[in-house]
Amino acid sequence: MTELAIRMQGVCKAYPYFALQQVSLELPKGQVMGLIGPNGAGKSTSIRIMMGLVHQDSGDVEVLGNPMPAAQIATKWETGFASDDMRLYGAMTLEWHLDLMRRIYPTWDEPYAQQLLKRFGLLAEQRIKGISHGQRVKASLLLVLARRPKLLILDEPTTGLDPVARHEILREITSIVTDENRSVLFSSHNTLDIERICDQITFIDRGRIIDSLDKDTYMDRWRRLRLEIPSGASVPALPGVLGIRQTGRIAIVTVNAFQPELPGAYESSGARVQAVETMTLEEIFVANVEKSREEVEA
Amino acid sequence: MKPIVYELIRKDWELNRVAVGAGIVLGILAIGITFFGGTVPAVIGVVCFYSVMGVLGSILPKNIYEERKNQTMAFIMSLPVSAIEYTIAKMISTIGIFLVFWLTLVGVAATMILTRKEIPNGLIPLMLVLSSLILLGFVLICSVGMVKENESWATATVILVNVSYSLGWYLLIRIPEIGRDAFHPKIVWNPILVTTLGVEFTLIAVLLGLTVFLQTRKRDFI
Repeated sequence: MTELAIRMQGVCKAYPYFALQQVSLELPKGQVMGLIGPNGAGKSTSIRIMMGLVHQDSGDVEVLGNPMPAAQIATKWETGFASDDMRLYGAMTLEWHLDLMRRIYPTWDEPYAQQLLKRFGLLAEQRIKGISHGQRVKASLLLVLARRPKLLILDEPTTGLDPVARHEILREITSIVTDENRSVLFSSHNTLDIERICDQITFIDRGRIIDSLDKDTYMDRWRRLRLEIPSGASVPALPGVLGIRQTGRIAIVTVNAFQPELPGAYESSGARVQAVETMTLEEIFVANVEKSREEVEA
Repeated sequence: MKPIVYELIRKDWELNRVAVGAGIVLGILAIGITFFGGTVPAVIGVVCFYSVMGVLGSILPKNIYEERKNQTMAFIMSLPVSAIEYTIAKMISTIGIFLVFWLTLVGVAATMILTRKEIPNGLIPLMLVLSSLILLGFVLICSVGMVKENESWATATVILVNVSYSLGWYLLIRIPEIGRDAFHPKIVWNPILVTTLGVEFTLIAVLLGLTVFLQTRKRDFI
């Protein structure tokens, strides 16, 4: 049986204007999971539940084998958490923060911390309130990474960063999972970042998990077919077809369970297959969200 | 005490080092005035020291609710600490800083009363009862700040508590057994004085217990 870093089962959490509904997901150890969703989808709430910062109304959560929120202290010793809205103490220097971490964590890796300081271009003696957003994010990550956590939970860490800073951070996160016992959960609405570093992908929208699979299977399953159809004919919805958009004699068919036989099946129905295209994660994400919303509204 | 709680307390003392440092310097200056001799410098010194304590009493509760306002709460709560440990650390650090000044004020006032012949020693029990009301008020402000996690609530409580001191002192002095022996040359305790002090410290303990209890019932910390 695969060892799990995170397991959420049927988790619900209700707020006056938002509810997390039956959220279930599993992150195997040694993997990087991308949690993708639009703003207000429930990414941050799910992550806060994983960290024990918010208690679920119902459902089970286990992080590194510890039940949450009951065993949150044990979990936090081994988990690094950073989020877009997390701030450090503005009046204090980065060195003060480093010193706090050194005193708390016996696992603190000082040579690695010094390495990261150089690599991220940070000055330890600088006050936090005097540094840029990008440097602040890097500083937060440094404080988390040098603890050598078994699990890294990052809530939209690349939001608002320039491409160079994003690249530096993503490279560092990727290097973490060269150790197969370390896992990462990475939330973002930037599908490009997720596509670059994640093994597993989970889509969340309006408090529900829409889909959760490994990235390769995802990318293989989704295709877009461009068909030319005889005048007056309509495109049949074959198995695996998620949606059809027809303009005149041209139809765009979006497929979420692509089979190699599908183009042939359309040819047999009288259509001419002009192209079979792979889709980007962003296109898959948008199609998935739209379909899910249609189903909920229906 | 768990090492992590100690580290959180130390962190708060370091973060408030400017307020603590300024308070200590101004407090020492105020105490210095009392040693010029005579009743007028003594009164001015005590009033100055009380003013420093009053200002600190209004500033220090920020240590509790600003963590959320400044969005540093997520950083602290991501450390291996439970909500209860966080609450205990916050209350100890904030009340601890205030206690340094409160104990100094009480100590200086007691020393002055005991060492000056013109001031009757009978004032000591009354001074303790009135000073303890200040401590009770500060603990109330901290408890509200911690439970409500909201600047508006904390500010309203600071104003309410500061306004209530005069009324509280007036009502306490009107109790005959409390003021009766204030001008006695010796310290005189009576059951009402002891009970009043007991009630004040019991209320402080109840407030602290209630704060921890209400924190345990919270389901969301960010």
